[in-house]
Order: sequence, then C-alpha cells, then structure tokens
Amino acid sequence: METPIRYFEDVKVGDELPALRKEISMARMMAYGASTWDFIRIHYDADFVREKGFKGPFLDGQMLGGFLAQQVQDWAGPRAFLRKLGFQNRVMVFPGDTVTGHGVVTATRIDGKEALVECDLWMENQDGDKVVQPASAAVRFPRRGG
Amino acid sequence: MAEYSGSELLAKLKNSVGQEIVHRAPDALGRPSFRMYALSIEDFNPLYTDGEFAKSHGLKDVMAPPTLICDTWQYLDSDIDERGDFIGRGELDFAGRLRGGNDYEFFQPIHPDDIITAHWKVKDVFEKTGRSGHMVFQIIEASFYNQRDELLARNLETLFYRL
Repeated sequence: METPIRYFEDVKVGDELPALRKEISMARMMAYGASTWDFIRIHYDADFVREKGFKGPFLDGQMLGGFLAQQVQDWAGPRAFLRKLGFQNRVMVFPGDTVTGHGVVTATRIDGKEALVECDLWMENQDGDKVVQPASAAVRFPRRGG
Repeated sequence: MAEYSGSELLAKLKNSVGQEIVHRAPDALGRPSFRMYALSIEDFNPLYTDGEFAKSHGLKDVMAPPTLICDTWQYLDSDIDERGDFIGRGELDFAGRLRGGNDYEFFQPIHPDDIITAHWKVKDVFEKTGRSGHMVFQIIEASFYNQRDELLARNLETLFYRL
C-alpha cells in the first residue's frame, strides 16, 4: 500500500498508528515458512506438533515482527527507515486467530544525524489477549528541507 | 518435548554459551525472495517489489521487507533433517525451543544483490522459575553482513526451553 511521505516535523508524541489487523490462516503460515526457508514441522504438521504436546501447528513468532514492521512502515511512509524493532511473544497464535497491532508515538528526538521517532507497540488476539507485549520501534524520518 | 532429559538439555545449553557459527550464503538474496516474503505477510508495499518506486524514494533498487533478513534461513547452504530443521547448526540447534522475543536493529536497506554472511553467537543461558514452571533461556545474537562486509542488521533472539 502506497502511503504519502511523512516528515519528522509532522510527528508528535501521542500520535497513534493506524491499527493493523491480520487473519491468520494455515495457508499464510505455510507461505511464511516457505518465504523464510523455515521447514520446521511444528508450524504445519498437526500430528507431529501434537506429539510434542501442543494443540496444533502454531504461528512462527517472528511473523508477528513482520506484521509490526509493516504497520510501522505503512504509517511512516516510503522515506522512513525502520532502525529498531523489539517485541516479546506472550501468547501462541494459531490458524483461525485474528491479531490486531496497535501503536503510539512515545518520543521524537535528534540523535546525531538521525531524526528518530520512537513508538510503543502491542498486538492483541480476538479474545483481547496480548500476544505481543511489550514491543517498540525506532524509526528514522526524513526532515523537511533536508 | 525435548530430545534430552532436563539435566542433559541444561548442560548442553550452558555449554553453548560463546559458541559462534558463521554461515556464508552461496548466492545473492534476489528479488523473488522479497516478493515471496511480502506475500507471506500480506504486505504489498511497493518499496519491496517496484524498482522505479523505490528509486523515486532514494533507494538504489527495491529493498527487502525489514524483518526478512532476521528470520530467513536462505543463507544456509545445507540440507534439512526429519524435523524440517537445517542440518549443520551445531549445538545452537535443540528440539523443544520456543520464542520469547526478538530485538532487531537495522543499519541500512538490504537489496537483491546482497550476499549474506550471518554470524550466530550464543550470548547467554540462564534459568528462571515462574508461573510456567522451570525454564531455561538462551540469548542468541545474529549479525548480518553483505559481500562488502557492511553490517546490515542484528537480531538479538530470546529462546526458551521448558525443563
């Protein structure tokens, strides 16, 4: 999705990032495994994963990091560069779940040559459980006139 | 869940601290990898697939979706075992691991012609007992360089194992 250029001067503490909602399907999980060359059976082989004591194949936790990066990049625009992204996985995610990412700007600062914006992020499932928390991002923004 | 007894697993994990493995990719990442990853997370940002769009925003070509480099195994030139896991990851590889979280740091855009060298190092292993029982945490740092030895990204990964 193409988004307009957003400049450092346009961002202020308290700004909310648009929510990003994802419906989790086995097909998308399979695609993620293929795209990351990750063929570990716990993410697609129901018999194998139940033998290991889980209720069924579950989502690779780093896929949620991909969603968070998308959420931040979509909001920040095509000239912004994601510098840092951190997240802790709290609740396992299974096919059929829906997860929604949220975010808010917590700081804006100049660090050397970088104009940085920091955000708190979190992600909930359809039951309101925090599947990712805490999470945060730091993004380098272009400057007006720069 | 694990292949080892609790004490064996703990000993092996503790023994892994300081272990470092370097993987050199046999070839460049390539544009299809970016398109495939973007498809898999349903992220159709043209920065990842449209070279002209990327150039219009100051990039030399399409860039990788930011988190791709931290999760792909594309740079491993190896076979997989019966669990679907890559062979040759040494003592970094144990059954039964779960993800606690990740801290990514990105230093520059990654492009299709980048040939990746990944440095994996076990930074720490520690035990913790909480509501979920007795667990062991393993902290792994992965640093990713291109063919010009430019640092592209770093991933501090927290994995845990139930004993």
